[in-house]
Amino acid sequence: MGRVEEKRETIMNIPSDEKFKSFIEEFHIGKYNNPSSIPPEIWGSKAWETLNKKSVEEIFIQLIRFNIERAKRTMPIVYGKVYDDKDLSGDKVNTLEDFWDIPLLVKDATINGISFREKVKENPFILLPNDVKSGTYVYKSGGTKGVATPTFLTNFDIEVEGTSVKKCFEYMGIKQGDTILSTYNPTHKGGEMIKVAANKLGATFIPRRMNDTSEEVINTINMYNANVLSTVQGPLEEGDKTKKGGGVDFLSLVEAGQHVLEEKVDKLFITGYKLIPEVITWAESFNKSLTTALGSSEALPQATNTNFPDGLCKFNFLHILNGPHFVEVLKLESGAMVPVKKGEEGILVYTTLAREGTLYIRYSPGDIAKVITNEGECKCGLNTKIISDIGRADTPQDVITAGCCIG
Amino acid sequence: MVFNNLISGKELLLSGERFDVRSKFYDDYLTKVPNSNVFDIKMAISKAKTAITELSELTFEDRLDILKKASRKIFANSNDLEYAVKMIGMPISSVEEKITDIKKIITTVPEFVAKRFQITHGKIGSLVFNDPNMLEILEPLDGFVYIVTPGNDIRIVPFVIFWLVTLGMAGIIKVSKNDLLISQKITKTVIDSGYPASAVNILCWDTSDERRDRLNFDIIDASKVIWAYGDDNTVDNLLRFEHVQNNGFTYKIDHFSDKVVIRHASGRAAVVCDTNIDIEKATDIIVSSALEWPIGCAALKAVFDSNSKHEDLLNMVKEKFDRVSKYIDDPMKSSTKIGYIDPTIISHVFQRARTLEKLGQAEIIHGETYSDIQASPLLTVTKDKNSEFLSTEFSLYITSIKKCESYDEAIKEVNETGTRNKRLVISILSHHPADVLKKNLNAHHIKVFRKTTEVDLLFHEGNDYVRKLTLPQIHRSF
Repeated sequence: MGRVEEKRETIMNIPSDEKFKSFIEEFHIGKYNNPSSIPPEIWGSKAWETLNKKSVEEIFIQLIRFNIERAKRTMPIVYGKVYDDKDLSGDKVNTLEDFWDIPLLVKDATINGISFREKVKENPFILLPNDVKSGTYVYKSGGTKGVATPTFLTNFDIEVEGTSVKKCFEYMGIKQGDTILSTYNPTHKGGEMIKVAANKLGATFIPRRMNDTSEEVINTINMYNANVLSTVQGPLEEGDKTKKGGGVDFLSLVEAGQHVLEEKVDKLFITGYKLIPEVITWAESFNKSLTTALGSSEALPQATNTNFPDGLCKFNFLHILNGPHFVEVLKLESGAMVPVKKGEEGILVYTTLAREGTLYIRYSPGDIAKVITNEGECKCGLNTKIISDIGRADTPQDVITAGCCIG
Repeated sequence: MVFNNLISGKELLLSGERFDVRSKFYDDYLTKVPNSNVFDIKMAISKAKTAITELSELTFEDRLDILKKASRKIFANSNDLEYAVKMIGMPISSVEEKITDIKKIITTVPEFVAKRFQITHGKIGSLVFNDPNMLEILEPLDGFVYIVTPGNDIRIVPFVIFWLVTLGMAGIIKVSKNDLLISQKITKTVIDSGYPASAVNILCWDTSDERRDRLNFDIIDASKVIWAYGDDNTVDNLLRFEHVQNNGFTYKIDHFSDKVVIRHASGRAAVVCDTNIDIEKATDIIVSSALEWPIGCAALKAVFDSNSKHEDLLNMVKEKFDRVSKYIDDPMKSSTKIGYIDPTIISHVFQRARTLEKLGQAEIIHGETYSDIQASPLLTVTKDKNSEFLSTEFSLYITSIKKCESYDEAIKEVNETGTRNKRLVISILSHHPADVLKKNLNAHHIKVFRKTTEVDLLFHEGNDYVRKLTLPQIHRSF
C-alpha cells in the first residue's frame, strides 16, 4: 500500500495532505479504476513526490493497465494493430518489467517504412480517442520536423495538467499574491497551462499580447509591478529562431529594460529550452530566483526545479514528477528499452496516466536526458530522480530500435 | 589577474567566458580577460539607455563637482603600474607621468569647456551675436556614445570618460584587452564620486573570436555616437561595414549611416625646422616628442630640417639619443628610459633601415637592437623625400630627419609626404609664428615651437568634441 513518508514532509514544508491520504486508501480498494475518476486536484498534491518508488509503481501500473486497454480500443490506428499483433493487453501488465515489453511509440521513427508523423499528417484525428464525447482543444507540438503532433485535451485534462503546473510553481516558490507576466505564446500549451496554474495559485496573470514588443512588456512589468517573469530563452547561437511566442525572449527584455527587471522581478521562470549559462549568471548576479520545468504539448509537466536552498534540483537539474504522466529515461538493453542507471543518458519516454484526451503510451518524442540521482538523494524532500542535460536526439531512430506502434 | 566587465558599476560576466592575455614582454605575466557575448552587450546597452534620463538631472556644476571629487581619489598603486608597464612595455617612469596627466585632465576638460562657453542654468551655452537675449544651449546628443579604445595609452579611457561626464552623456567603452585595470579603476572612481553607475560601462571581448563578429554592430545600432580609435581600414572593417549573404547575393550594410562618428585615425607627427632657429630648444622638442611615448599617436616620426645648422642639430639629437640609451633596461626599473617594443615592429623597422642604408637611400645615425623586444632609439637621415620613414607611423623609438634646402621646401615636403590623410600634428620650429598661419599645412593640429605630443584637450583630428557631441538649442527672450 502506498504510504506518504512523514519524514520528508517537513523538509520541503510539504503539509500533511489528508485528501491525498484518503485518495491512496480509496485507490487501493479499487475506487479509482478509471483514471478520469481521480479528481484533478489530487494531481496537484505535493505528496506524490514524497512517495517511495514502489508505492508509485503500484498506483501507476494500475492506471497504465487501464490506459493500455483504452488506447488499444479507442485509438486503433495508433495502437490497435500493433498491440493485437503482439497479443498485448492491459491485463498482462502487472509489473514495471511487464510494461517494458510494450513497444515504444516513436515520434521520429520511420521503422519498416511506417512513419508516425506521416500517419498524423494524413489524419490528425487518429490521436483523438473515439470514446471522447466532450469538446476538446487541440495543442500542437513545435513541428520542428515539418509535422506538428496534435494533442487533444478536454477541460478535465486541462484541469489535471494546470493543477500539476501549479504544484511546480509551489515547488519554485511562486505563490498566491504574486503577479506573473508571461511572454509565452498563449496558443502554445505551455502558455495556457501557465495561465491556468497561475489562476489556481491565486496569482495575477498578465499574458503578453501577441504583438507587444519587448519595450511594451517591460512597461507592463513596471506598471503592474510584476514580480514573476515567465519567458523563454533559447541557445544564443540559434538567434531569433528561438524566440517562441513572437519575438520576445529574456535577452530582448534585458536589452529593453534591465533596470526594470532588476527592480521589479524577483522570480524568473524560464522554459522552452535548457537554461543557458548567461541566464543563470544573470539570476545569480542580481539575486533572483531562477526556475524551469520540463514539459511538452503531449505531456506537461514532466519535471521541475524547487527553490529549496540546499537541494540539488537547481537550474538544469529537475526532479521527475510523479504524475500526471509517467516519465522514464530509457536505454536499449538486451532487446528491451529499460531505465538507465544513475549517470547514464537515455531517451525520455512518457506515458499518459490521467487524461480523457490523447493517450500516449511509451511515447518517445526524440528527447534525451541524463539521470543525475536516484530516488531520495536530494535534500529538498522530493523523492524522485533528478534528470539533466535534456536535449534532442539528432537521429532518434538510431537510438531507438525497439519498435514503433503504428499499425 | 582575472577581470570581469564593469556594467553599471557592477563586475559582471554573463557569458562566463574569458580569454588569456599574456604580456608580450613578460612571459609569466598572464591576465584573464572577459570574452563578452550578446548578453553582456545587451545589458550594457540597456543600462546606457536608462542612464540618459538620470543624467538629464545633473547640472554642469554637479558634473564638475563629481570630476573634482574623482580627481582627489585617483591614484595608481604598484599593481596598477606593474600592469600598465607589463602590458604596454613603456618604462614605469613614463607610466607614472601618464597617471599624473590623468589627474590633470580630469578637471581641465570641464574647466576649458566652461572657459570657452558660458555655463548658464547648469547648461553649456553661448551668446549668439553677443546678444544676452539670444542664447545657444548645447544639449548632449540624444543617445549613448560607443567608444572603442586602443591599448597603447592608459590616458585614453579616462579622457573619454571625463568627456562623457563633462557633457553629461552615457557610454559603452569597448576597451583593449591590455587596458582593463586602469580603465575600470577610473570608471569606479567616477561612479563613486557621484556619476550615475549606468552611464559608464566597460566591456571587453576577443575580436578575433568569430562568434563575436556581430557584437560591435549590435552596440553601434543602438548608439548615437561612435568614437573609434584606429586607422580607417580597421575601424571600417570591424565597426562599420557588415557583409550579409542573402539569396546568393552579398549586401554591404553601413552601420555608420545615421551616426555621429568621431575618428582617431591619424598619427605620423612631423616637425619642420625654419632656417634660423634656436637649435638647443629645437633639439629638446624633437627628442622629447620622439621618445617620451613613442607608441602614441602624437609621437614625432619625421623632421624636415631647413635650418642652417643642420649638422649641428643632427649631432645634438644624436648626442641626446646616446644619453638616453644609457638607460635601456627593464621597464619596471625606475631609472629606465627606453622600454620594450613589439618584437615584430623592431625586427621589421631595423631590417628595413639596414636595407635602405645598403641601397644608399638612408643612413643610420643611431640605433641598435639589444634584444628582440628592445632597441636603442633609431635615428635615420634620408635624402629621399619619399622614404617610408618620413610618412609611416612606426610604433617604436624612432625619428627620421630629411635635410631641406629651404623653409618653403620643408613645408612642401612635409605636406607631400603627409599622404591623402592628414598628419595628426606638424610642429613648426620657427621664430615667426605669424608666418606659420599663412602656410597651408597638411595636418589636423599645427603647433609652433611646441612638442608634437602636447594634447589639445578640446579638439582632436578635426573633431571639436563639444560641438560634435551636442546639438544647439536656441533660446530667445526679451
